[in-house]
Amino acid sequence: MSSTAERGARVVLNNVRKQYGDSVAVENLCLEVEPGEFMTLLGPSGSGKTTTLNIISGFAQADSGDLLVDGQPINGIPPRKRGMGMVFQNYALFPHMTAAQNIAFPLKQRKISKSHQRELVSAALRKVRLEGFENRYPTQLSGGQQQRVALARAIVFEPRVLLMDEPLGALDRKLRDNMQLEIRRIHREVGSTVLFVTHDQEEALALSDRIAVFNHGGLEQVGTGTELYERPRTLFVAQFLGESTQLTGQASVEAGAVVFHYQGQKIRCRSSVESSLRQAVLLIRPERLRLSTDSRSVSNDQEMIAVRIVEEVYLGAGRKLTVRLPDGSLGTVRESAGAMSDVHTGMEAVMSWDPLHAALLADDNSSQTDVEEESDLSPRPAVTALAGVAGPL
Amino acid sequence: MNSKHIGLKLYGAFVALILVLPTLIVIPVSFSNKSSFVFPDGWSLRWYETFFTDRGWMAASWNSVQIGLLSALLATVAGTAAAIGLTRWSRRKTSSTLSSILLSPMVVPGIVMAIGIYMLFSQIGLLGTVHGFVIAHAMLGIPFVVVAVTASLSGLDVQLEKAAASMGATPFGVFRQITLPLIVPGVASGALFAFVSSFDEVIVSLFIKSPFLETLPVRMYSSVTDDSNPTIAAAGTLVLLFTTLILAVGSAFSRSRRRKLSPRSSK
Repeated sequence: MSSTAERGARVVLNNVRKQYGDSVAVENLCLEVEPGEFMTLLGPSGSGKTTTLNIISGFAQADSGDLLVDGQPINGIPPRKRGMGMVFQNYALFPHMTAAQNIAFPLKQRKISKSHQRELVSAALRKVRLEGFENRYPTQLSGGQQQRVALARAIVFEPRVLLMDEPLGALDRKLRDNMQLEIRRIHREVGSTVLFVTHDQEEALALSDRIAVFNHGGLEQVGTGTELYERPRTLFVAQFLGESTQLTGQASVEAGAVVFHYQGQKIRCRSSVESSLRQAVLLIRPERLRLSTDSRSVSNDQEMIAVRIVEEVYLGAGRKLTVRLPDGSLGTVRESAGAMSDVHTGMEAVMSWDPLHAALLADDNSSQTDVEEESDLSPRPAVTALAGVAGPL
Repeated sequence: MNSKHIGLKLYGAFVALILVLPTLIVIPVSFSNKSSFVFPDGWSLRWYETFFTDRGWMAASWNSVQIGLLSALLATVAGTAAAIGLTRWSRRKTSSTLSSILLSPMVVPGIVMAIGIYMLFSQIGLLGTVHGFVIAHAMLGIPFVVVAVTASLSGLDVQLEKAAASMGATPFGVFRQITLPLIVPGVASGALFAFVSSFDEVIVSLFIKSPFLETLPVRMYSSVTDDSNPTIAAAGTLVLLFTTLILAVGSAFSRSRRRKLSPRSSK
């Protein structure tokens, strides 16, 4: 309970492995969370993020590997002795207790005097901006208010580690955006180390200091939102965070520079990838792409390919265009309202970008099917099927 | 629309009547002025007077209340613990086998149970004792408690217990502060049924009674063969009133609680 000590704890997972029956939930998991850091565990369902949270909270035991809090291994310690705050997806408020009784619960277990309990409860209610709701039962509160009570209950005993398991999953969009801001503010005020599980990439980007992206029971990449979005290390990370336009081709090294071969065209790219990379995907974020009807307007330091506009959607703050790429697949371009081009549906255009903003990634088809939209995939099998028929003729 | 359903309503009323009529017939007979089971032509309270002044009837009633309360208590504690254990047990096969054993008193013919209990109790000297009655009746009451508590456990969110544990509550603390308060309706209705099942139990009681210890239903049963006067109808009416009252209070309690804990209807 000492608030003078450093407020957040360092949490380290070292080579953690957990198996349920025959299926491996997490494997080779190494993660370091800095004191006071807001770390989001992001991934699709079944990727191991919730298992990881359960191992940290103590509700699951790792089969092997270490869990350290401030350097101390806590593997065998039961949840009640770990002193971590937890917020659950469905709030898990005790229905037979009022908001104040719910919030006082962790204090009561710690045998804190009644008068001090009252002080801490009202301080926690103030932090979550829910003064005046002390005597309401959970059923008399709205979803957002219940979420605030759950949050107050988790922070009232000033835990050094705060675990949140998709806490905003049950709220509607508007309330969720609002609560994201509240959670950020509370994190700043409380200073605990936060581990936040979500499958919502926007939520992860909005909240986190760093994001750990999970896939198939392992970590794909750990980094700040900018790092993950601008410099994804794997195709999975690139596809899971945000939209992208993808060109599939081959990479090679020519005269010391990496060149991407796409539909008979040589495309320059910024890359530190080793020369062994053959099958590759060049990935560009939609807002980094420009469209134009005239290839002469594209400057020399840009790369470009010819596309046809399939669809345009006006979004007020900008425009989203779907384009047909030379290889037959679809790509996405976003234009902001201040920089809209004069291309429209059905027109031929050139699509250009700065090579600095294109990421060259190993083509890893297995993860592609998890994320990519069906419309992006469907043209390819059709093309190969046609080729197969045409061959013997 | 209504005329279509009138046939159904009549049929429903008819079935309901068949179900309760044999029970209700004891009420007019208990106020009879005659000394036999014929339908009365005049009213009197003499059979109630006999009931309340006769030592045998009063002793049997008191025994029934006492044994009912003690056996309900025992059945409730054991049955609640069993229901929680069986629900939480990770080895599903073992737990479902054990649960059918616990529930077997509901399906095993009463006479078979009675003979078994009689033989066992005569070996260990429990025949004609209060603890013998309490143990036998508790055994018969346990299934009611297990069924009722299991039902309310299935509606209990396990996240609540996890949440309590994460906030520092000991396993017993979680049970006392979270689990028990939330399954109280199931525990209470199990206890009521256990009490009522003990209070009107005849077959086993007939086997394990002694001339010095008998329960109200046993007394009523022997009264049919020995005295055959409407005192038994008065006793029956009182038992009916008593058990109905208990169950009505129980269901009123659980209704008011449900209203308090369930989400607002205006949402």
